[in-house]
Amino acid sequence: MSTNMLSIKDVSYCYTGRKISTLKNISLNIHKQEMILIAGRTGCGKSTLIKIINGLLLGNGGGKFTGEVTSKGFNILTLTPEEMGLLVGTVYQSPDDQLFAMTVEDEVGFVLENHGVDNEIIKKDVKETLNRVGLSGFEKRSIHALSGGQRQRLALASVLINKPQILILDEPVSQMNPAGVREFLDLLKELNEEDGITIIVVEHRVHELAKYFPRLIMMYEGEIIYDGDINAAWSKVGDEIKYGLREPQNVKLCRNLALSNLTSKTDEVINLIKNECFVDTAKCNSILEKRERKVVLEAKGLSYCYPGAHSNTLNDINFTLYQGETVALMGYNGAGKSTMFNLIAGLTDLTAGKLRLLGGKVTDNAHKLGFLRQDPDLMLLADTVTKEIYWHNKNLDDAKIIELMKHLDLADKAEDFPLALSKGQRLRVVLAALLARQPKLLLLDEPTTGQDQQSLLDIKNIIRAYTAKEGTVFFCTHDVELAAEIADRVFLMGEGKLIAQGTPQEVLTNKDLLLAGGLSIPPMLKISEGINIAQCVTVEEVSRHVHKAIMGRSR
Amino acid sequence: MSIKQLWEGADSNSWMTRLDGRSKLCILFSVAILAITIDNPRTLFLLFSGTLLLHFAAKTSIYKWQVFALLLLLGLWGSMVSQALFFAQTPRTPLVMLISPDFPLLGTLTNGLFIYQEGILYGAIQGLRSSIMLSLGLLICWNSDPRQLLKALVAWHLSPQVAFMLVTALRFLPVLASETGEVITALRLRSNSKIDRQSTWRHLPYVVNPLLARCLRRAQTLALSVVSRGFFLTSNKKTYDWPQKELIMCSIIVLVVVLTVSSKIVYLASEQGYYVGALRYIYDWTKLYL
Repeated sequence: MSTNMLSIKDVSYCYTGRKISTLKNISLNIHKQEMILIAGRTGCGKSTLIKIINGLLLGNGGGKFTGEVTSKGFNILTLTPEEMGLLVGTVYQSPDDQLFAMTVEDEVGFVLENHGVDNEIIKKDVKETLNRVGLSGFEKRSIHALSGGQRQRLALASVLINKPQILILDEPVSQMNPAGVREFLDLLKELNEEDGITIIVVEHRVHELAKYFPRLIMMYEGEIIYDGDINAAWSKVGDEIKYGLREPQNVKLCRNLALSNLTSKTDEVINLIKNECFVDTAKCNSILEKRERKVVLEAKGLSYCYPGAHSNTLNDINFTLYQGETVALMGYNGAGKSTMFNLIAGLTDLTAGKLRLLGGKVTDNAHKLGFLRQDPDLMLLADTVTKEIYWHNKNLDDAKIIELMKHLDLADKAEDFPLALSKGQRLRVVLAALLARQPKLLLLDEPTTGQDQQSLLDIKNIIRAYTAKEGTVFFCTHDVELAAEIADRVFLMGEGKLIAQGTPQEVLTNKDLLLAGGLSIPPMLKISEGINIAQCVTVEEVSRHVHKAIMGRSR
Repeated sequence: MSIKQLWEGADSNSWMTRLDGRSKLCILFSVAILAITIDNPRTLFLLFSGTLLLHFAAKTSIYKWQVFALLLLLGLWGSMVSQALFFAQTPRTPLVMLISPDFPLLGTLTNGLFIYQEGILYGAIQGLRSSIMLSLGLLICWNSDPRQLLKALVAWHLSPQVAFMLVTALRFLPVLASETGEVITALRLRSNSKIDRQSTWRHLPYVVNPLLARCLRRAQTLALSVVSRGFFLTSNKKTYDWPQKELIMCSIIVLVVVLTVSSKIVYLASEQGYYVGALRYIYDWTKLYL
C-alpha cells in the first residue's frame, strides 16, 4: 500500500478564458492498490482533476497549468497522452460516448491494435479481459446489442486490456439499479485486490459506495477540503451542507442520535445504540392516513407490447394515483418503468387495458401533465432561462414566474444560457418550465440521477412544495432512501408486472420484494432488526424508537 | 426496429462488413467518379441496378429497404418532376400543358407551365446519379465499422486527426438519429396544447440547440477516450495488408474508371475538333454507352 504511484504537488489549472482557476494548489499522493473515492458538488473540479491524473490536460490542455505531477520520480509532463494511457486508464461516465467499434472484440482490442500488438496476442488478451469483466462469449456481439450494464463493463474492458496501473472511473454507476451497482463494485474490488490496480472513482453516491472505498477525497471550489479515511470524513465534512457530501443513512442516524462515533458500519451502529441509548421495543404500526381524495390517474389491466417484440413489456398493471400524493416507481433497469411513463404521457398507445387521466382519455389530457424525462438536457432549447420558462407558456403570470424562479433558486440566472448551467441547475430550469404550467400530475423519470447532495435536497423540497399544493408526483427511482423519505406509496415493478404497491414501510421492509425488484436493503431496516424495534426504513422512524440514554452529550 | 437501430452497423457476419475499409472506400470513390462521368441514362440505370444487387447480396433488412425506397423515391421523383417542370434549356418538347400562357394571372406570370420531355430525361439522369451515391453510401454506412474506415483512411496516410473527424460523423449517426427522436418527444412534452403535444413537425425548428450541445459533449468524450487508448500514437502502428483478392478487385475497378474517364475525355476532345481517326471505335462506344 505504501508504493507511491502518482504524486501531484501544488497543482493549479485555469482554463483559457476563465479568470478563476478550476483547480487551486492541489496536492495528493496516489499509492499502489488503493481504492479512492472522489466526491464533491457539480463543478467543484473533479473532472479537471481526473484530466490532470490521466495526463490529458498536461502540456497541451489549452489552459494555464502550474505545479508538478510525477510518477515514480519522473515528471509525467514528458509523456504523451497515449503513453499516459499505459499508466492510467479512464472510463468515462456514459459508455455510449466512448465506444467506437462495432463488435465487442474489436472495441476491446482497439488499444492494442494502436500499439502495434500482434493479432494472435490481441485475440488472446481480448478473451482474457472479457472473461475478467464477465463478458466471456460476447466477442462477436454487436456493441449495440448489449444492455447498459454490459456496455459499462465493455468500456471497462476496453481500458483494462492495456493493463493500466491506475484505473479512473467517472460516475460509473450513476444510472445503475442497486443490484447492478453491487455487482459492478464487486468487480472493481476484485480487480483491485487480485490485479493490484489502483482504482479511483468519481461519484455522488458516496452513501452507497462508502463501504468499498477506504479513502475519500472531497473537493470544494477547486480545492481538496478532505483527504483521508472515509470513516473519519463524516465528522469532519459530513455536516457541512455546502460540501454536498451525501452521508450513508447509518452516519445520519449516528448524528441524529448524537452517538459517540459516526460510522457507516451497521454492526457498529447497532452496538453503539445498544450501549448508549434507550430503545423502545414496543411495536407500533404506522397508520396510513385515509382521506377522501380525487383520482388523478387510474390504470386497469394495462399491457404494452413493443412493435415486433415477442412478449409484453407491461402486463396487466392496475393502480390508482390520488391528488396530492407522491408515489415512487421502483424496480430493475428494463423492468418497464419508463414504458409506463410513456403510456401515461400519451407518447405510446396501450396494447390492452384502460388508462384514465384526470377523469378523461390520456390523448385528451396528456398535455395537462408535466413529464421530466431521464435526460433533462434534451428538453432545453432556449437561449436564456427566462425564455426557457416562457417557451409555449406565453400567457403566464409574470409575478408567479418570478416567484417560481426565486423558489427554485434561479432568480440570478434569468439571463444565463441554460445548457451552460450546472447539472442541478439545468434540471431545475426544466422543472421550472414544467411547473410554470401548473400541471395536475408531475411524472419524474429518475430525477436524482447524477445529481449532487444539494440538488437532491432541492428536488425533495420542490416535490414537497408541489404536493402541498395538491399536485401529484409519480417518480421513478433506484434510490431506496429517497423513496422512503418522500414517497407516500411505493410501486415495485419486476418483469413488466407490478409486484407490490403500498406504503414505503410495507414495500421497502420486505426483503423478498426488494430482491425481486433489484433494490438494496435499506440500512435502517437492518438496524431496526438489530435493535429489535418495528421495521423502519428512514432515520426519522428509527429515531422515534431510540432515545439518548445519557443526557447532555454534545454532538 | 428503432430509428437508432436503422443507423447501427450490421453484425460482423455479413461479407460486406468483412470487406477491408480500403476496398469499400475504393468502390465508393470509383462509382462516384463513374456516376459523374456517365451521361447515358441506360448505363446509369445499370450502375444503379448494380448497387441494388449489392444490397441484396449484403442481405439488407426489409426495414432498411423500406427507408431506402422512401429516400430513393423522394430523390428520383423529386429530381424528375422539378426538371420536367422547370427545364430551361432548348430544344425542349412540351408533353403536357398544366397552365396555359393565356390563363389569367398565373399564365401571364409563368408564361405557361409545361411538362417537358427533355426535362424528364435530364431529371432522371440527375436523379440516377444521386440514387447511385445514396444506394452505395447507405450500403457502406450500414455495413461498416467506423474503426474499419478509420484504419483505411490512416493507411492512405490521411492525418489521424482528420480521419477521426471524418469517421466520427458515421459513429454518431445512430446516436444522432435516436436523439433527434428523443428531442422531439421532449419538445412535445413541453407543449401545453393537445395539438402541439401530438405534432412532430411543429417542433423541428427547435431541435438544433439540444442536439448540437449533446453532440459536442459526446464528441469530446469520444476524442478523449480514443486519445488515451493510443489512437494517435504513430510510432508503433502496424500496417495492415490489403487482402490480395480485394486488391485485385479494386485494381480492376480503378482500371475501368480510368478507361471510362479517358474515353469520355477523348470523346469530348473530338467534339472540340481534336479528332483522331484511329479512336473512332472509342468515340462510337462512348456515344452509345457513356
